[in-house]
Amino acid sequence: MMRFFSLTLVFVLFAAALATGQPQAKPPATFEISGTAVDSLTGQPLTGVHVAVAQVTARNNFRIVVTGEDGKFFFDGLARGKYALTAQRIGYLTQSFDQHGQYSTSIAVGPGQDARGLIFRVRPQASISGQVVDEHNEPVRNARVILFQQSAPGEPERQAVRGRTTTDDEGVFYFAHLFPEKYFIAVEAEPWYAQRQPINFARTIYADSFGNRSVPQDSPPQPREDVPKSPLDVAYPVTYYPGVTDPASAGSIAVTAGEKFTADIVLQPVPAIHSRITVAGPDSKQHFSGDLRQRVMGDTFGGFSASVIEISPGVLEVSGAPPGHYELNLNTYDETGNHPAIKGEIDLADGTEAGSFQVGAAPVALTGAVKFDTDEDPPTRGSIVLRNRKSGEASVGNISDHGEFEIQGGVQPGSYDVTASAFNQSLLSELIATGAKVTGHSLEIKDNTPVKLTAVLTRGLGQVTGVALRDDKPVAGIMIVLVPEDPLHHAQLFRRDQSDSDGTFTLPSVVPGKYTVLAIADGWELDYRSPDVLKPYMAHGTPIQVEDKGKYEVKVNIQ
Amino acid sequence: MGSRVFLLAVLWLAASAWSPAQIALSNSSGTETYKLQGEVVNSITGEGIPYVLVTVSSENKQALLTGTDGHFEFAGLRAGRVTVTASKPGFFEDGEQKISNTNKPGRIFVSDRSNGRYAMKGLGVSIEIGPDTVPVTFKLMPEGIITGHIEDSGGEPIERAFIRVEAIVISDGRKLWTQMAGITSREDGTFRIANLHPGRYYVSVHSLTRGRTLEDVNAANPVGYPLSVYYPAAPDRASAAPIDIAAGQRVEIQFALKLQPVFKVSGNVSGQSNVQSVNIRLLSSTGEDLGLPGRFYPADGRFEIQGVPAGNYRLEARGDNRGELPLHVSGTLNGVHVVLRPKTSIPVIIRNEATRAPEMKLENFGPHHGIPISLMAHRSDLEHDFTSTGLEQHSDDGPPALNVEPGKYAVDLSVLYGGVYVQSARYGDIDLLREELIVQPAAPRPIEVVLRDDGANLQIKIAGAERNATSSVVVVPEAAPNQLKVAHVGGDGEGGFVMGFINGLAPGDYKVFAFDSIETMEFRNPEVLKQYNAKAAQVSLTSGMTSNVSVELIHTSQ
Repeated sequence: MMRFFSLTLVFVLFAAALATGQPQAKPPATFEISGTAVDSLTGQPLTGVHVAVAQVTARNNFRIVVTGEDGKFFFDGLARGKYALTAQRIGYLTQSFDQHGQYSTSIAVGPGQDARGLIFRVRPQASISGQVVDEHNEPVRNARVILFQQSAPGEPERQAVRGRTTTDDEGVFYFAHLFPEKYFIAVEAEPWYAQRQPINFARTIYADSFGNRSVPQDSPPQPREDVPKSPLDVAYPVTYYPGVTDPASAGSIAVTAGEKFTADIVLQPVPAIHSRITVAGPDSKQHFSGDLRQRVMGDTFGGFSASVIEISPGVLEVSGAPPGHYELNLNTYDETGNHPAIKGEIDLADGTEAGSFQVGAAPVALTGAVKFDTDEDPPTRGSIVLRNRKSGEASVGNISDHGEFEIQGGVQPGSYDVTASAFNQSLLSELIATGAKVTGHSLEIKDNTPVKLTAVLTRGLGQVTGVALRDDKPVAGIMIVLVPEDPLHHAQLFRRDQSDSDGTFTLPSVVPGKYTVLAIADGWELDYRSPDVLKPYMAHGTPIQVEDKGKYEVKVNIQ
Repeated sequence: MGSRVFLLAVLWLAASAWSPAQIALSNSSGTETYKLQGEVVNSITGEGIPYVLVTVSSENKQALLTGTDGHFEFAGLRAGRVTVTASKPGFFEDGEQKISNTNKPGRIFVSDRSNGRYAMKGLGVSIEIGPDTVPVTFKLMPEGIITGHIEDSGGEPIERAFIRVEAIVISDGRKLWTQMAGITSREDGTFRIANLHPGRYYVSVHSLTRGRTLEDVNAANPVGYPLSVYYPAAPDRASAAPIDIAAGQRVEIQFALKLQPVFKVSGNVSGQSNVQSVNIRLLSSTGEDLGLPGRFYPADGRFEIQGVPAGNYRLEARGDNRGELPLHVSGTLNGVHVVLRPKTSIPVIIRNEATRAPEMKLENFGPHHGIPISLMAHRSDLEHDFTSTGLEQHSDDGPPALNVEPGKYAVDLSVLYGGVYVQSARYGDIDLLREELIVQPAAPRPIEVVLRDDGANLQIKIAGAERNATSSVVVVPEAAPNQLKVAHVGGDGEGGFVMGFINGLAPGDYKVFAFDSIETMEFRNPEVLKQYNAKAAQVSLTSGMTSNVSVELIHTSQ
């Protein structure tokens, strides 16, 4: 009995011991992100910075802390995951942690991750300002200044307009809130004192909708010899920093954080052109009106105050613009009404020599169809974009309900990069053509043979994730590049990312094919799409074959 | 015989040399050419101005830039009268153009912005080119510049604030508030406004974005900047301090703005059709758009405006119809009800008592022949409301109508036919020739206009007018001074007199003034004209008669 009792007692005691020793249901572990916001140039702590964290999967759900004198920020009670960390303050651009263009380092929190004591280097914003003066060293008022930014990552080289302004009475312009990037400046202006003289009495021919003209048809009036040319009939060509008139030699301005760059520009006048353009082979009943525009940079054109007037059937007088290469847009109208514009390029020089302009320099007809690489019905929405590799101009064909498209007005012979745009979750994987030569996703059109394209889209996009390692240790902030085979003809297949605080990265929406993954330290300034630049890194990259909808995990060594 | 022929030939040649040069493509006899030299100087410092554009309206317009010392020279000019202009950005071509020349000084537009007068550019100076032409001096007035800085109460610069510069400008004899410049502040809070003519200006800051930091837009206690601040820190123009700028002067000003609590105003709009989209605007108490748009919800007719600082405003709702009401904001305001109402339609009945010309019979007017009068009503009770309404003809057989909202209006009435005058224009017992139109929301009576064609004619002789200058005659009926008439009389008279002629005036007593220039005079203000009463001529006009009056030219100088 006693033994039984003692056994029971022991058992009860043991059970009691077990009961009290049993751990209670613990709350899930929470984590902390903390650190100091400092000025990236001086290293001094910054007060008054609004620091925000939000999970990368729910960026609108953020928490904010404002730093005090010591620049410190502190967030706790965070669930495991990856967080975007951003800072906002007057005088500094709103930016993410270690931001490079559209990439930044996300902060991973969880067991084994330490996200305390981060140093958030907040980059002061940069600015570009300058003065535009004329040939007399006097300020040019109301000059139009355009700020271009070097291409966005992942896009073929285009300069996008980042800002426009006009100069004030001192000729000064100012662009603020700039990220450390590469920029160009272009200036358009007319000399304030310019005196415009048409060489001919511009005999505008008025035609009613029946084609009846009020001025008899005759040969173009001869230039008036007795009108002395005014020395003030001058114009300013579009001028690029530091003072050149050829966009190809425009100087790029690479501003660094906090830099206040000064870009002064001198405008030099040139005699304004007086030219006659004969529209080749005009129908005697056709009349023309037109306007000139000039490519300033990228896809941006300048509006010029050039005057284009028809002085007799099929002959136009152009005056008031600087010599140069122009795009002439002609509208024609005859007894049947207005006709759509004819475009063409022309070089205009000073003098009264007639330049000749080919109307409808035969464009090449371009049609095609888009289909998927599966049995799926062709898409009904989206467009195919052809971008001229030389001029950068884009031609677009929107697809019909049956997945077919046509480039209206055709294209000129040349080399083009083809992309598939605005197709729901699918990308161009293969290009096939008749009438033109295909290399990768590039097209070369040599002659006037009509071109038929087949653009094959794939939905089977893959994903490559991984970790960037140096000496087997993960490193944050490294540029990761997914390099396709034959990079020159597959510009759209590149992918990039920045490694997060745990060294991990994600390369999404990968079109199936053969790639090499590179991790390049301090690689953000590289022209990563250039095969020559990539060459030294390729041997030590991580090769990978991406299949339809495949998911891969790789380790990449940092170079 | 020979010598007489010779003499005649000489006389003939001399005569052709004297006649003004005509535009001719071929060389005429007398191919003597002359030079015109001169300089352009800064009217304040007297220094020569480099690179000024000087033009000469000779046979072919010639133009050149002055040298670095402000000197210029034109060669190869044919004899005759030309117009010479001088211009350059940053300068105004005002003031007396003192020309050291055998000819009389030419006068351009004198201006003084403090009284609202302004200059016209490019008119230039008239000069006789010939062997006696002496050098010309142009004086150009340098521009005034306002620079400034905007910061918040913490000393931080405010960027992207809109700064407006206003001045009184005189147009058609009336003073008008006009925006002279508008600019936004830079990142460092600075702004700069150039090209200002000497005068009196009012500078204000407007429509700032509400706060800049996340704290400021914290839902619990939103704060924002005042919607408009007039220099130095006044809520409206009436209490603002003017900035007087002299030629070439640089003025520096500061604005310091305080964040203050802002509130939400909400309510609903009635009187709109279901599919109508209604535009909600917040206006100042004087009718100025404050740039704070409201949101309208067509489904239930609700509206709301966020970010309104305390103060007095007007709320406007505009769809096909319009509604407006005053608003006093001192906290969150709910339940504001705006009713859209169609405008009040006032029929205008035109009675024609023409006795003479058969073509003036009433049946000749109407929708197929047009309305014979012009009636423009300008809202006068709201300083910033510039709406102007004219007559509309809606139905084929009804009278034209004036469609306006309730309010007070100044009415401009004129006849579109020569020789016809307005004998009376009444709105109930309001005499529209003398008083303003007051429109109530209630059912209106018609405006009754009586036209007659038995007007009087006036022949005016101006003594002291210049040969080639234009004079301006102001003819003021004593019975209705608002209905004054202005005529510009060209100067090609002989013997120092110039004649002008006005017909179709209403019979009655008149005062007649002749001025060398009224471009910059507030002549519609009776107080201004009063000053010249001593030099005015009095005349009584009788129906159907032509009267003569002689008046001495009044020189309006600085």
